[in-house]
Amino acid sequence: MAREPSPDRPWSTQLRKGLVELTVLAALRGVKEAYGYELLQRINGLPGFELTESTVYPMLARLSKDGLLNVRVGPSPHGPPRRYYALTTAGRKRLKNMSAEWSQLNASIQSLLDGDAR
Amino acid sequence: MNEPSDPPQFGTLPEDVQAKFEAHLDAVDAVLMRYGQNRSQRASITDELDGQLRDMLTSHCDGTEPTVEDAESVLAEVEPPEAFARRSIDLEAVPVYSGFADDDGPPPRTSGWAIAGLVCVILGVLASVASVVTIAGLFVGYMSHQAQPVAERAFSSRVVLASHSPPLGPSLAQAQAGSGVSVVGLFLIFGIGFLPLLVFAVLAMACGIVAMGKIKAAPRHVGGWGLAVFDVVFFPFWVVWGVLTAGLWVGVFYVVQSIKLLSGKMNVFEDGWHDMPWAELLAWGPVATLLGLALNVWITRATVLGLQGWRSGNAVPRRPFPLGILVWLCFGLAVGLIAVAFSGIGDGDNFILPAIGVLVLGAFLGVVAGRRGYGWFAALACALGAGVLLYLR
Repeated sequence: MAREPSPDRPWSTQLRKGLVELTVLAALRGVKEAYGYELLQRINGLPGFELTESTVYPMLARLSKDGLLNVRVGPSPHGPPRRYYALTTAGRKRLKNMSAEWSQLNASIQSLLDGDAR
Repeated sequence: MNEPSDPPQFGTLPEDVQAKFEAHLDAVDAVLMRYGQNRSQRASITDELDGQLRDMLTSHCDGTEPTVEDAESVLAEVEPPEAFARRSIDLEAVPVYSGFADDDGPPPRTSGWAIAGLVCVILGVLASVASVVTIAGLFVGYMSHQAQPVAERAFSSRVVLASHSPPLGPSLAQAQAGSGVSVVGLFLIFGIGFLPLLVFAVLAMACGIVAMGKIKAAPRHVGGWGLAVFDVVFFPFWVVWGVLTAGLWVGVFYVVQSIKLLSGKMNVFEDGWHDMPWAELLAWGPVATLLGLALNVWITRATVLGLQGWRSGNAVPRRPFPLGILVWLCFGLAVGLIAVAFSGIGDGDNFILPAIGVLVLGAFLGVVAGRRGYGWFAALACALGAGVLLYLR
């Protein structure tokens, strides 16, 4: 079902939404593992990001299902066991490809913007 | 109860706080289920959310024992359950860079096997129509040629082509059989109708099953699940419809006769079964057909829903039973039976058509009103109509 962007959901929202997968994978790079809420806080601690649980948690479920994340269930000090996520080899490979693609796209757009500026 | 000096043990939250959180998690789970997420995905998402709620509660309480107000404050900070309906599409989202105008990617193409199954269904229906026409033609020909010798009248091939035309000469049956009894008619029945019907029915089901397998294997690329299920269940449920109709037809008819016997409207020893009310028997046909169709539609619906649940990996979802319609159907049927039983058909006063009219009208009202939760009003209207008709009589 196609969802039309509405005036109160500007293109930046759509842009972030398209980058959720890359964002989640990138947030797991450099750490051994992290649980869902921890990831959410880490991402939203960056300027410009306002991801919600209804976006991130389904994404984590999908990435796990696709074999890009490894899930380990461990104890939690505040209740039932937590799920700790870590990148798998396939996840790292996907992140590398996406990162390269993003860099290229970003560079291209930047060159256009620089051209406009000149 | 924890002592004030003890740190709160959030693994065992106070019952009312736990209930608040569980209600929220259940609501999220229900939304995810409604949007087709399977059990493991739902569990993954709700477990994460559960952990988040507890972490937020810990921060919110800052060492004190959590209360319902604390839980409500935490819940006010998270998204409502409905948000997961909007976002849960991300579970099956495909390419990240799929464009902003249609960020769900191209729709899956309809399975060619499912389409082929639909073609077989259509051809099978046409074959069945051909069967009916063939049998009707043979029957008409048989009736119109009864006065002629056996070889001329029975299953003559030409009566199918022109049942009202006079015989054009020695029939093919007579010419071929020579013994007086033709088998050409049977050949026609099986050749024109039944055999293709059988072939197309098997092909339709086979195509549907193959299509379901293809769709299950590649849901993002191949679609048409509903059509595939339709291909598989069409002919089996057609047979079920026939069985239901026949059972209801014969069963209802003899129940009515039994009620008439019990009510003294008919004496089996005086009237005898040789006074079979044929008109009544025929009139019950459409009613039994409609009731059989209603039951069949319900069975088909339950089957399709079950298969949808199987496809998404969920247990068969619990759906509210259409009580309004069922209540009406039972009630309308009972009223119709009583109306027919006490109508005095054996006295020559034909009351069955108004009674059936009440039944059909009630069915219509039940279907319309029952869907809006007013099935009982339809049933009462049905009973009132039957009562008025009985009184007028």
